[in-house]
Amino acid sequence: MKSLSFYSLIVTASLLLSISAYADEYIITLKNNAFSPKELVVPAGHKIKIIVKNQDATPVEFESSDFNREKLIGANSEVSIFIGPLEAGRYTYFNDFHLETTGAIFAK
Amino acid sequence: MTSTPIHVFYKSVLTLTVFIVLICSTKNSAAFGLDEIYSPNVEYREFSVEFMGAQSFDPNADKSGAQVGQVTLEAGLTPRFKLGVSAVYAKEAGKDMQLEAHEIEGLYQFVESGEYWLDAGMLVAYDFSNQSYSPDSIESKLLLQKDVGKYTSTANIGFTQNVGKFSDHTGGPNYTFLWNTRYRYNVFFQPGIEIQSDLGQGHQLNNFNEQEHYIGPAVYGKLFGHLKYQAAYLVGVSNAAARSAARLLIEYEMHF
Repeated sequence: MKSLSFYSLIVTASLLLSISAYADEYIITLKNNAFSPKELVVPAGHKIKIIVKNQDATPVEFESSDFNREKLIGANSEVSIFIGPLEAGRYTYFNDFHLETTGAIFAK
Repeated sequence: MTSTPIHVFYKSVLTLTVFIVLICSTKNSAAFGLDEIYSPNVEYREFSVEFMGAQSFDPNADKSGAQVGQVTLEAGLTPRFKLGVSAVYAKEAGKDMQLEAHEIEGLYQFVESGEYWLDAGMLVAYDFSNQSYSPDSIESKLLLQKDVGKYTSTANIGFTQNVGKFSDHTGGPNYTFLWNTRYRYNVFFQPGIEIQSDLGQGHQLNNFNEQEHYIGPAVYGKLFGHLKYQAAYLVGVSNAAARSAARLLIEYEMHF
């Protein structure tokens, strides 16, 4: 019973630690198999929300090992992705279904 | 010769099949418990075929050659829920590999990845024993993950309780703690460190040497296309653990 209480405490603590706050929202659009803007500038040191809109008729897998995200976006759909806080620098991402389709985020 | 997507697919399936056959036909092993370290994040509309195999190594024949293997089919059915079914194989030292259980598992992602300070989820699995006079079991794991710069750390805190027929006198739940931290060098190569601890049942929680603790280097990433891998070589650091153990996971992803 003591162990179960300890486990419950860990679950509760982890949920309490889940504190959200993000600075701004940005939009990245995929159309004709190209991301726009090709390079997005965001503030360094802040958590941001990016809405990725897929305006093509085929699904996309938005992926980046630089900021550790992997999201499937259906045809003509959108998803929200939370990133950061990022240190100043350039972070690349790509469509895992078409590796030549890439983009970047500049944190300044 | 250029590789078309279909060539890459067949190459991946062939590699996976050869690997599974090699592992399942290996002689030598004992029931021990290296496991996959789960991310709390669900990949929606992803279907994957996954094989995880692990083996212990020790000069003592009672501890050497223990093996576990698990073949799993998983599907991200909603943006927050993944369902999986598995066949679990195990082999104790000096014995044959056996189909130990069939497992059904559900993984629920509590929060959107990166939205909060910590990513969190819960895995619940039910094992239907395939062995005579052996109980079924239910496993629950709290899954936590945190990105800091180019590092990602994941922790799984779990317990397993025997249930149903034959579960009398098997004692209280068995606790586990798994941890890894990896450096995301690129998509293909992400080196890291892994800790796997089987803490035992309640009465063993204060006795380090009755528990199995392993720690060592690991590497994660993509091989090519949609084929992912995880490999770890861990050293036993408690008396109950084998001198070392290795684990390998191969996963092929498709989308629906």
